[in-house]
Amino acid sequence: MERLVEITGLGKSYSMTGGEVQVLGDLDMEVQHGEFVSIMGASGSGKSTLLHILGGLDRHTRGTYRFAGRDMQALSDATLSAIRASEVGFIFQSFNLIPQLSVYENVELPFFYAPENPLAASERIMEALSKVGLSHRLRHRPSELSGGEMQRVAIARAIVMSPRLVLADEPTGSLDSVTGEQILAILQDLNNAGATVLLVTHNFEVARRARRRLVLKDGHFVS
Amino acid sequence: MVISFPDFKALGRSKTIASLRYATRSLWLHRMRAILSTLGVVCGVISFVAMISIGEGAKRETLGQIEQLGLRNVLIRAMALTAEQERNARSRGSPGLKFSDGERLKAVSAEVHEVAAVRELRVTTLALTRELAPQVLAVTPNFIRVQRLEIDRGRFISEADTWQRSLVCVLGYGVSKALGEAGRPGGVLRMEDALCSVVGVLKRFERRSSKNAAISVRDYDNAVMLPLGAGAMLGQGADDSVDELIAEVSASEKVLETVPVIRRVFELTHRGIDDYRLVVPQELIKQANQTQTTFNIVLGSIAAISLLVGGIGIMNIMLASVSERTREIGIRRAVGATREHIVAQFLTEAVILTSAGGILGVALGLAGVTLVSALAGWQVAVTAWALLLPLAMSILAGLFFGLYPAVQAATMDPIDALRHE
Repeated sequence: MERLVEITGLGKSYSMTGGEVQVLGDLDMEVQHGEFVSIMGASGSGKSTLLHILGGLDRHTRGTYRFAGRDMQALSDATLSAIRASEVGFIFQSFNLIPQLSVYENVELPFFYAPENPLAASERIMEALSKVGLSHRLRHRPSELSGGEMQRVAIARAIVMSPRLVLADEPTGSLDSVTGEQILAILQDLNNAGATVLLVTHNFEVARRARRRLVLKDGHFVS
Repeated sequence: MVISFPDFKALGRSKTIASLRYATRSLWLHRMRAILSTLGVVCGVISFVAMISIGEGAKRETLGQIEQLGLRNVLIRAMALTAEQERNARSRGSPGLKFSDGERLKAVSAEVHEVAAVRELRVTTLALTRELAPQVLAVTPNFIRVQRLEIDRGRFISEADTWQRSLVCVLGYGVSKALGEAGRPGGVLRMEDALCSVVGVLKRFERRSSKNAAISVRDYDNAVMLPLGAGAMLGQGADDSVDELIAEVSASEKVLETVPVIRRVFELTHRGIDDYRLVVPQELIKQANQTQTTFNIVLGSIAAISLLVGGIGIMNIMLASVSERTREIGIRRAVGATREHIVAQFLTEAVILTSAGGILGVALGLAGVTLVSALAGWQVAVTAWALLLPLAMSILAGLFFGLYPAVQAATMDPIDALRHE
């Protein structure tokens, strides 16, 4: 299998008034294409920071991170943005949909920022929405949807560009257990269809849905 | 139900359209705030449109009047003196403005190649059928050339008429029309106790002088012209006093250098008595342009200040919008927006706001200017410049005042923005 994510000695520190605060320290990890990996950790363990770095939304301060063979530290902001638009899909705990846009428009959003204009955008949007079972609610605003539906819209937005990597940050954290289960089933289906999924959670039940589990504690992987 | 969407084959174009649509929608969410924030720009643009249109109208009116005096001409007008001034003038030997002043001027200055003389006669003109009150002018034959008047029918006053003191007259277009049959060449006009033969009619004269103009141009449509010597026949005195001399200089670019010569000749012959006044249309144009420039600077500053205040209002509202939409900025960054995309998004919104203000301002400015023109009787000139400049200024104001908030939005840390509640 081809290596998609490769981090070596990766660390992240913040300079603060009281001195330097290390959030992540000396992480090594590889994720192959088509894997479903969960990273479990308590609140403040640095899992969200790691996810942001993996998605090119944040930069590490030490070590190396290669995504699909590219050294992410060396890439410009514009290139990282292009990667986020077409190669990475984010799913957040709080859904992060734009309230004034409809379901269809929220899913359409990455097309505006992708460097290349893929043809048949509307077909792809419809396909993504039908995968999450929401093709009948195109014109609704996020405020008219339930929590589970909002998260499904967020998943559709994350997969609409057929990204290499789907990053889910506590995707069930704001949902009841039944709805959370539905969301996990969708992620499972995506992975079965070939998508690489990396999920971070503090919940063991959620983490165990992945084929490979990593545990993060105080910025380090523990066995 | 199957809902079909258009296939965005030309996604580039649709991206721009969609960006504009989303920007408009974001503004529409807070429409009252958006409308209030554009009021400053609206006021600024109204003042710009009004300033340019009214200023241009005033300029055209003034220049039109001055041009009708003749740009190659220097006018020497006789001044009315008080009794004391008249005694003083007599004692110092100034004869007042005479026809011979013009002859002397031609002899002294090579650049003055023609001098026309005008004497205003105070005579009652009676047509055979009805009473008219036109201005009666005794003029030299060259008056028609120097004043750029044109003959419609018949002929103008000739040299022979002048020396023979013939009682012939040329009528203004309006006078001729009012007199009907009698007002055509061959007709007869009664002036005081004499009968005057009509020999010609002038073409219609578009007088560009308003009632409150400082330098008025005579209304030649309502004038009757006689040979200069005819005054004596109508009991107006036989001396060669005139009310105005019009000296025509060989070329318009030589007028200003000839004026000192003319001034000097008159100072000498009139012995320093100010019983005449020199009117130089070219100098008047210069003065009018200077006044216009001052007027433009003052009004332009007022308009610019209103636009500045309007722009600050836009900046304020855009900063509030950026702050409120911090999370949206984070989301957009997470799904691939670059900093430039975010700058473009907020700049688009700012420019939409100011452009809408600009369009509204231009419409209201046009309406206001039309109203002012109708009510106050001011001449206004609405040029494309008067409409396009304020519009361009409002778009520029949007770009300028929207830039800071847009850059603020673009330089936000996406992760902090995503965490923003």
